[in-house]
Amino acid sequence: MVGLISPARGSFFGGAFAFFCSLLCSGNTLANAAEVYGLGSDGISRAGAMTAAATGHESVFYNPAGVAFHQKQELSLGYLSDIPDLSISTGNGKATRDLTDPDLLLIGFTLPLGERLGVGFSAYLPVNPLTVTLVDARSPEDPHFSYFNRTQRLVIFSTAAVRPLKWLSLGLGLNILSGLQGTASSREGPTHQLQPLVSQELVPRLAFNAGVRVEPLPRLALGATYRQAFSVPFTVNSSHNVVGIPLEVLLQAEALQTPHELALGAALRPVEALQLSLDTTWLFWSMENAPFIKLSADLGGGRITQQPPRQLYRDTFNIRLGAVLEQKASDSIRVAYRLGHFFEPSYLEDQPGRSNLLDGTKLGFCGGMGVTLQSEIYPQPITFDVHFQAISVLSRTYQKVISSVEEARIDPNALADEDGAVDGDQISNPGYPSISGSGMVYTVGATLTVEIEPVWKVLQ
Amino acid sequence: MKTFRGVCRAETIHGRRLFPLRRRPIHPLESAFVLGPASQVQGVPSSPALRARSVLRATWPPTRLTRERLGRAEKRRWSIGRLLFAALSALAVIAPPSGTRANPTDMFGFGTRGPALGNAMVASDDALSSPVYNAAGGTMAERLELGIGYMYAGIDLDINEQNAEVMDAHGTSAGFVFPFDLERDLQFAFALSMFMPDQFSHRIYGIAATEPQLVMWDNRPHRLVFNPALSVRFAEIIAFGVGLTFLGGLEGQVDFELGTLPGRTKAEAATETALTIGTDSVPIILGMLLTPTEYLRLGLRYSEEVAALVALDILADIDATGILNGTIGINIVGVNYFTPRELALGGSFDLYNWTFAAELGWQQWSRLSQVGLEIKLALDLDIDTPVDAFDLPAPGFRDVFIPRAGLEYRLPLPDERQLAFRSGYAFVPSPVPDQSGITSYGDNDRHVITAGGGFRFEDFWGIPLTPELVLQLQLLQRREMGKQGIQPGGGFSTGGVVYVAAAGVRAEI
Repeated sequence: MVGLISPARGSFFGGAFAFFCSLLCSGNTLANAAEVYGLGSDGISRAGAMTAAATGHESVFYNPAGVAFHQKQELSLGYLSDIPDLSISTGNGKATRDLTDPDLLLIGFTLPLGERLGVGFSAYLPVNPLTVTLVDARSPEDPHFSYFNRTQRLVIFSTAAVRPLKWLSLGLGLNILSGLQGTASSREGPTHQLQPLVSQELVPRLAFNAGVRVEPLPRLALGATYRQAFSVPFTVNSSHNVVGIPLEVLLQAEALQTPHELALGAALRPVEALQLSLDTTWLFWSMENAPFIKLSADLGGGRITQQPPRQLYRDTFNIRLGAVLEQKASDSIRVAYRLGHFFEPSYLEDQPGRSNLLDGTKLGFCGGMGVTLQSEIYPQPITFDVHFQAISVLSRTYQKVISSVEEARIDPNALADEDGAVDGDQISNPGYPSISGSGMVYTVGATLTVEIEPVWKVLQ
Repeated sequence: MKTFRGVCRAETIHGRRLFPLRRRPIHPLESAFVLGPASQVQGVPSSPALRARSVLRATWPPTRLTRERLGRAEKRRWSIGRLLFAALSALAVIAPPSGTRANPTDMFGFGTRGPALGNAMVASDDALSSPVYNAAGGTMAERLELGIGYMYAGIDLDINEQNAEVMDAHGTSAGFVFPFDLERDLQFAFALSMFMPDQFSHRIYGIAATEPQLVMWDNRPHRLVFNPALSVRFAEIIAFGVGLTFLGGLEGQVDFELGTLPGRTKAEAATETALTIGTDSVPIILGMLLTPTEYLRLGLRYSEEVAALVALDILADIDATGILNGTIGINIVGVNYFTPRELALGGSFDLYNWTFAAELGWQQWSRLSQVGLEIKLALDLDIDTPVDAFDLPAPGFRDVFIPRAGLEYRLPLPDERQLAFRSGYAFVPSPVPDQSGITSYGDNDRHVITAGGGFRFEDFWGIPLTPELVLQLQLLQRREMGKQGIQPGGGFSTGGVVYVAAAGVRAEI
């Protein structure tokens, strides 16, 4: 039921502005680039099968325990660019969807603190332009690939790991994020002109990563990593009274959402020069809510609200395979060749109703190589890695089903007639009568890693 | 059908280009289902109202920050400076960090040594706080130094002798400096200083300009400070340093629909809002430290002006039959956390166990073009709705000179122990002019009186530790803003006291 609004001077706009301000910081930016593409050229070119293999700065994401096995003080710089080629098809046409992902700058370092302790840090910074976070919340009906709209924010991982036994290490890391919350209001000033009153705060949020790494045999490593689910509950409640007309806005969203994840991995060196790795990760998406804004507005006595679609996610898993072959080209040059592949079913349920979130089974094909140099000018090793990744999103089609108006009243995802004054079912949903999406996403990148003599060794 | 007349989005604020948001052309997919003949294209509603809404969506859909809008055209315009800035930006924790001035370190100082010396630190040999006071000072460290502390500032200010209810500022400061020498006459150091408030790391804040407010205190002390710096020293005589500071903005677009559907209501929203790190002017800090003798230091600091930009384009499509039908566009622009360009020149001199320090700072507040947020409206409604947006007048802030002085006495004790006593004074003039018009910006000249001390010992596993304490009193000279006539806000007065206490410990490894 919609309340009556008097078209009084300023009253509507006072409320409307409050509404707008309430909305400005809402939204959902899922996960991070490390989860979508991987972290570092070494990890990406091995398809992310790194839970038991990672020991450098990339282990802050793949397995924090790996840092304690890395007795090198290293600084890494990298760059990653993605090239999306995703398309959406309906009965009305086909279009290519841009992913809106900026390129990513990578910075990482590892710092051993003695022989049994280590700390690590890694960060992805969206560039072009420099962006901390791009809050990207679309309406349920807007067709889009939600899976890939997850890389537009600064990602910071930090880790500390301890190695109590020679074959065992434990690591604990932080995934550092920020959320937005606050109030917004407006009112007429003494000159009868509209003036804002805004206070939107950025509040730090943390999530934990924990890992264990075991080396039961000299050439075998096993690893397990738990990554804590994370979301920023966002609620704004604004109250306004402009020229005697009250207006209240309630906005709720969950931003920066990522599911609980459990990864298990193994890495084996059948011969000294070859390492094979295998990972599987379980992603508990079903525990998360859909990434839409819920809003309700009270326009002077009557409340307008509509529940966003819910229960769109399902648990999924992925399997990752990686291999690296190392070759000594000369006394001062070593070369590594890497390959990887992963498979991940979609985390989205079928959507016969309002929502048009698109996703499909993903197949990843990865490769890369690295060159390590040692010279007299700089005696410590310098490694230059490059990678290529092609992710194929297999086609998936949603057939829309028209529900009755009564059904739509109780089911927020039901698709129903939108204009009772015109005969027949009037549907403006762009996904009606069917919608499908598929395509490819390519990434290319490079990472430069410089080894530095550990401080603790220098001090010794 | 509603015709949206468009919002005139500012291209620049305060002389700086905004995040490159642009309305994108009609999407091919949307064109197909919106503009195709209804009789031939399945799924196109024949309802005129729905078709109108679809057209509106096509002309201003919940637009994406596509690569074009993210500045694809500028993509290749990378300079070394920007890449360096980008690299160091990734070290900034979490949130859009802050500038050098007009932040907690400007209002109170950083750590536990500078605030005790009246912040007369531009020529100091304190490497740990060098990213804040003088980026070249990092090379004065002989060993790895670490420090951590906590600061609490009780802000007891009033407007018209009523408590202004300004939020107290408190948080944790931390820093380190890592010196490394390539050879005896070529010394380098990397240093990092940060201050993390307890409540939040950053806040976009704006209240009505007509309301009496303490513009220097309401928001500026509350934000993250994150300053990395790299320094080099030649022949133990002259050192140069370069540092960066960070300041973030908020820019984006919001789109929503309110309306009714058969038997139900419609309330959908979409937004695309970016927290950005401004790069149009690299927020660089430069420092120089000259040490002609072992006892004399001369320092120079320059910090570039930065500002957090707020720019939001908003579109509302309201279709409540019989109540309100139409489209509303709103454009909000403003500047948050303006940080003026600053130049500081000073010296410090050691005489036996005493150190004298003095400096003069200049802050270019006159370039501030706007305080707070401004709204512009564009409407298309079926009703007569004359609404005036508030036009913010130029604030007219003035440049200020800030003298600072400090004094330290070191008392040697047995077993390599040492007590230090410090005191200082600074006079901080207000850049805010007398308020005689529509705005009610309040601010005061400040007398900053400081005291502190530290105790250095090496009993802790041979590692030199120095617990330090500082107390600071900031007295705001009462100021009357005697507006003429019946200007909004009326005449008002401001004044009060700020009490600051900080404690911390530093270690040399």
